[in-house]
Amino acid sequence: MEMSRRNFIKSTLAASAAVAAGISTSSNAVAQSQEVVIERWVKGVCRLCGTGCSVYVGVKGGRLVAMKGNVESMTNTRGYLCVKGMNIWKVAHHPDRLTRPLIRDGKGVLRPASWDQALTLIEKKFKQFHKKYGYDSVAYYGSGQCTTEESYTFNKLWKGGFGSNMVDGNPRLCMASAVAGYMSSLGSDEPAGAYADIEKSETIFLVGSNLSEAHPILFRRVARHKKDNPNVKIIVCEPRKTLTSAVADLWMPSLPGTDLAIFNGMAREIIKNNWHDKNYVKTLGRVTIGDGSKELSWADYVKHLEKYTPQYVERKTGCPAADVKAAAKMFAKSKATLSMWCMGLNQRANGVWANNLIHNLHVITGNYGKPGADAFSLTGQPNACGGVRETGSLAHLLPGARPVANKKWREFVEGYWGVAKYSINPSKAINPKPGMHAVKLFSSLGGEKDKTKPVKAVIMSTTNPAQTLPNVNKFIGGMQDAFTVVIDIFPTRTAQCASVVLPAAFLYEKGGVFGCSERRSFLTDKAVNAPGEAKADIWIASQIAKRMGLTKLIGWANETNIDRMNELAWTDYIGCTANTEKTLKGATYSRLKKSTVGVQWPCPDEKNPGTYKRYVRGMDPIFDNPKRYGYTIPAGAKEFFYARPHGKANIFLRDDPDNSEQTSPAYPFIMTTGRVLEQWHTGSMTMRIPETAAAHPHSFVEINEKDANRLKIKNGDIVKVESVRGYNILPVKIVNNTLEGVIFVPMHDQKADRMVNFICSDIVDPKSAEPDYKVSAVKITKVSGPKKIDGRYLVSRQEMNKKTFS
Amino acid sequence: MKHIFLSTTILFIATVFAVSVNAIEQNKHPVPIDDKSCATCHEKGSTDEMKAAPEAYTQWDTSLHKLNGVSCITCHGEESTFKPQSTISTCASCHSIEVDSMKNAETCSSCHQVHTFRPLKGFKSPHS
Repeated sequence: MEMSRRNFIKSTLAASAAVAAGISTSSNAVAQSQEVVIERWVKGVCRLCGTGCSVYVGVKGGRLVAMKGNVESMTNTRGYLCVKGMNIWKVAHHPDRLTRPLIRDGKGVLRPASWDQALTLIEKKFKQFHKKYGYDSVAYYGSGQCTTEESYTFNKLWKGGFGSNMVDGNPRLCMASAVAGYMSSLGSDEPAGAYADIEKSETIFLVGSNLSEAHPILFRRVARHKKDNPNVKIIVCEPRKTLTSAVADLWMPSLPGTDLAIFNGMAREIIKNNWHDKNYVKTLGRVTIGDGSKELSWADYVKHLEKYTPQYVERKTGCPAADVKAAAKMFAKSKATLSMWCMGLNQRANGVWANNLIHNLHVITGNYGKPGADAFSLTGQPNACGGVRETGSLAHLLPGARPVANKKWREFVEGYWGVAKYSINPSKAINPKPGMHAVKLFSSLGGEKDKTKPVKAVIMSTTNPAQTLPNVNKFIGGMQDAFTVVIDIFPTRTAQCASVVLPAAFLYEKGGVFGCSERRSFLTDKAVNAPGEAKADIWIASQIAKRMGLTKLIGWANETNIDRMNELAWTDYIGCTANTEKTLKGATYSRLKKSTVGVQWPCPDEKNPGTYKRYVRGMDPIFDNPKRYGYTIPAGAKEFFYARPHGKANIFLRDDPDNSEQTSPAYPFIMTTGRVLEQWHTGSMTMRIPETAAAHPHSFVEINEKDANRLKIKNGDIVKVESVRGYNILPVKIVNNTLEGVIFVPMHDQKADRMVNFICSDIVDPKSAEPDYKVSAVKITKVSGPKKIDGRYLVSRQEMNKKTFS
Repeated sequence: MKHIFLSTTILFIATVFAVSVNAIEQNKHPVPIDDKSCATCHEKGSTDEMKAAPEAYTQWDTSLHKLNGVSCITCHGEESTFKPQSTISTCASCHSIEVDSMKNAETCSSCHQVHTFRPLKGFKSPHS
């Protein structure tokens, strides 16, 4: 193949990047020269957060050797990548990769086994439990990191094949409140707008999001927008004054768990000053309360807000009254306001209400249907939206993110899947009753001897609940006693609890579609083969389907080519959801194969370019044929929330109850948790990348300097951070950028006495069932002066054979 | 034309690898890093450890790279991958549009101050 000068330079550069990135550990010039030319660049999407950065992975000799951003990308514009993204390929060839199935023997030791042995055991146990305890005794717990094809396959297998809705996933722990917020406020899940609104906005309201560390590439877009347009106003509302606030015109501090009062206070101030959009409220707003069924008047709403004076808000939240007024003005007076939030709002005892109140601000100011305006929930995982929310791989949903309780939709899916013909459940139907949400599922998981635990088996893919569940100590015994199957690429705390461990293929070893926060689906091509006997999840799901007698239900079960399996599963999925507003019917597999930017739904046909802005005539294709999707849109409506009756968004009366755990003299600090820039989730990947491991080798506790002085602790001292549930032993980092009484602990460390979820509250939001990770009452006691920390801790293969966590 | 292309390409590669090889030859950090934060030694006014090249840290501290989370390890690696001078290829991980627009033999530091990344005076930007 003739190589152009430009491509030759690009290849050379990338190879040099590979050398520089540490691929040639021998570090000599000869080794470098051997790394000179990248053989192929394969398109894909970043494996990590929900931004959905478009990338190319460099391949040489059948190995991943480099990664670069896609300069055409609509997400990571100009091809920027963060330090995690540019290095993530390094985990593919890490020596800790799981490459053979493992079965735990009678002595508790995981022994290598063949795939046939592992699958035979799974088949035997699943059939035994189905017969003895019913179909709901076997659960699937998935992930926003599986591909859409994989999640869809497992979801179809369980709901269509077993007649069981015991399907949930880790997005329950991060996105469920946003889902319930969108559904209750706007009638349909996921944002109306897109990242492109960032550059079109005049005010950006960042709340419950440390964007600079959790979504650095989106933060870069925000920072660049502010730099290029100094008149753009940026408001940051969060308990810690992080780097995100460096670009802010206004930092609104708020005690964790109290910001509902701020949002109501801003609404009060907006209405009091007559800054609200009366016409928008009249045509597109509807005041309501509770579950949204009862309509109230505007006067009821105004009366409800009276309590939320700036002074009340200051007393309740710690946010100065003047800041509430200033924020309200910036929010309402701009021509286009964009709110973006993440776990700070979702992982809360009142997460759904917090989401509702952000939507309230947008409805009363008319900030949805115009460029630059939107209420945008950011996702933490690369395929939580596409793979789990859109495929309905949660206990209460079906594909298209419609509830299993919706009879009409359930019957459609039953027909589309051929459930009456293929299901092994005698009911020959999808169960109308939702399954268990994550926390309930793991509370109900246990061994056969435990009569109180109805769930006897679970298969978990690409997730690590033995580290991530709140108050995790409560769930470890159940995972160890039940029949648990773990699909992963590395040893994890969950694998340590497993009966069977199945070695998985990494994203670039299998390919598949990821759908990011902005409704954009993007196909990653398979770049290299998986090591050893590691397999793609879709293959594993297919083998289980075949053994359970469901080959015909999973039409790709007999395929051996992963790309073909992905294509068949994707095509089945987009056919199933073709008549919903989440349609990707036009994003055919062949189109996604060719596309270097992906496609945003709704996209009803191949000629449709995809949708930047929903609910607006001329932009949203649902307006072209609403009947096809089960909606009615008046001919003259320019903007219309078609998934809501009469197209009106709800303005909810929501109070500010103290549902989170409260501090007490014994536990006087509020602990909040979150991400740091260089790590991701439980660190199973990022702690194996030398650079990111070095940047954040262990957890710490961040504490206000005044609190530290009172406790007589200094930087680096070792302290015990303890709640009623458990404790961590952590080094101290003294800061002056957080509120007194508030401490912060990152969530990534695997070391047992630094796993923050031993401490965290397991209160869940009553509607979304999402845990309240952001508010736990703790106390702090000094253990010692500074000590060397055993950083970069990783669960090893050997530790997987131990019952206790080290 | 073919000869010109060949020679410029060789020159280009030589330049790139001059940087890389140079980096590799001196790839050991002068003292063990031992998972310490770079700021421990490099931040101006640091009370701990030794002072080392604080001006570089100070420059970076005011840069857009800092604002955007591009820290020391992004360009210099960590203990096992350390390179005292970053390579043009590292820059290309994010700035491939700009790198593509550069003339042969140019490196980013030909026109940009190394740690503030601001353009040096007197250079005409080759980037569109």
